[in-house]
Amino acid sequence: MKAAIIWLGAILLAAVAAPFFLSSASQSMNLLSPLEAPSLHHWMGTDPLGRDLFFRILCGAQVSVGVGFAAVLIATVMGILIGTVAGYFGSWVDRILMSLTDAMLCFPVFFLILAVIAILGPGMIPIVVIIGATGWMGTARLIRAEILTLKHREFVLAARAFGASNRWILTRHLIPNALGPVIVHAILGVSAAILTETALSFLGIGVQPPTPSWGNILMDGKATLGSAWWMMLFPGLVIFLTVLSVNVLGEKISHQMRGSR
Amino acid sequence: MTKYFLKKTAGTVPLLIGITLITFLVIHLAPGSAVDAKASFNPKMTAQAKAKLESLYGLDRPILVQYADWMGRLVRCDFGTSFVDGKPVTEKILQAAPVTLAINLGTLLLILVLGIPLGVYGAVRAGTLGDKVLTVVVFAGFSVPTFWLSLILMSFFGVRLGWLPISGLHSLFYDEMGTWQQYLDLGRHLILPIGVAAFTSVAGISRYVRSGMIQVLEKPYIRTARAKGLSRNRVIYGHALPNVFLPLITILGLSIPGLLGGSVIFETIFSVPGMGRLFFDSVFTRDYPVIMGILTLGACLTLLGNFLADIGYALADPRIRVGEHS
Repeated sequence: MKAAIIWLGAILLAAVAAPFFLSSASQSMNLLSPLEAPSLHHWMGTDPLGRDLFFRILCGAQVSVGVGFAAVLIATVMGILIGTVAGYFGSWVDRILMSLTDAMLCFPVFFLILAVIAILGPGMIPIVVIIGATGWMGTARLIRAEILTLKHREFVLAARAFGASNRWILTRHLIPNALGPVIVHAILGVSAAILTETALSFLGIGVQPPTPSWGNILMDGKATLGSAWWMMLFPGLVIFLTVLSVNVLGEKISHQMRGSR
Repeated sequence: MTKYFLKKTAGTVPLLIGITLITFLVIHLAPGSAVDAKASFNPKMTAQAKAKLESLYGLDRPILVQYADWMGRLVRCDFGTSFVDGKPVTEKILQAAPVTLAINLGTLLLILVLGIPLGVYGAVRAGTLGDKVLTVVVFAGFSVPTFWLSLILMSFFGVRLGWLPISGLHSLFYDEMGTWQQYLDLGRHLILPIGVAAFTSVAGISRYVRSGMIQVLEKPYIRTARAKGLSRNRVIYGHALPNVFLPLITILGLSIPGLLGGSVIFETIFSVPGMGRLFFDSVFTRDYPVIMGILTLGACLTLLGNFLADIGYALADPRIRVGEHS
């Protein structure tokens, strides 16, 4: 648990600070020293263009973690909006929105993402938008269920009796009380989004080089399979440890929330 | 039971329409078309020739007409012809689907075979060192990027040790082998993709079985069974486990879209000629009929999975088919 927090802190620091100090160092090529094994000078070795792998991974943190957070933000806001409206207003609004949710849930999400990326073209913004737009269904269902149980509780009836508007009730009473499970879901969503971004970039249709992302660094590693183990080991290890830390953190928080109820 | 069956069947129809409509709109409202993709490879193509191509493919008609047309053919199991090579989409998909289905069924089987015992072990020994180690391993499988794990195993078992083939489904001399050798060869090619896919998704099932078992083991009927003097194994496997199995059916149904989506990554890395690979290639050439066909089929497979899960659930649990009125 502590290790997870320390690791995430380091990664976040890299994501915020590394591009300021290292963006030129991470791009500077040295064709005299391509594919050098890790050494004191290059901690994680160099890539086929002689760029320092450690610096590239540090800079890649901004893209990979940033995309993860931004995508989950979009997904969570969409999920809260759709779930709240469906749960609060009920009847046909609920039925239409929930059919939409169920239909979306039937799609193998990765297929849908690929199709839309083929249309919009690869790049950071399309990826954030599409990972967000295909990830809201779980949040919507969670928050709808919460709203359904909350909306008949006494404090909501009391607010209504005082003449509160729908908007007031929703934003001041219902949504704040329904947020608990959503937060856990969002944390776990970040790890899923990081995995999706790195997978897309790894396949060559995500964040495009020369902008370093953990996924496209690993894509370069695939090309040198068998000859340069560091190109493959380090980027993957960083993805793995980051996702693992986020999952551990999410699990811990959800455990404590369940315990506190 | 018949009534329940019919109700569930009727319930899938609007979902099916919703699914096809979403796919169709997403792809057709996008800027750029298959004709553009073709034109960009051929600088001599005139606007006239482009218009001709568009009317040939029916891309110049109103979008709802195109959708109705497409649906009409869909009902007859006709997904149209590929923009790229002119082959019927159905033929292309039928060639690729069995590979993907076989791999995914193999993965599902392995997940069950591994996940259930692991979950039971974790529940029975909850809190011990073994349980903790298991939790860590399962968590690792849940968090590891599949493409990275595949690469590492490929380079270790395939390149370094040379034990396993790293791509495709068949070896070079496949046609000259005997039947058994052919099966063996196919199996060797499938070990890595199925193994990685199962390892990374076993977490869901085993964690589910573990928490389900822990709850069930506290139930009064388990205490009764113990008090009756039944053996430990009898109590665990005869009385507790079946009660955990029920919701497991639903979880399996829900895991289908994830497995199908994952097949894009596996099939690309291991060069397996399945649906995921076909989809990946079609996306690059904007081969709409193939993209639509696979998206629809993928969603339908999910629907079918959920439907079978519902039916299985109702068969296993009388409370569902008789008692529920919603």
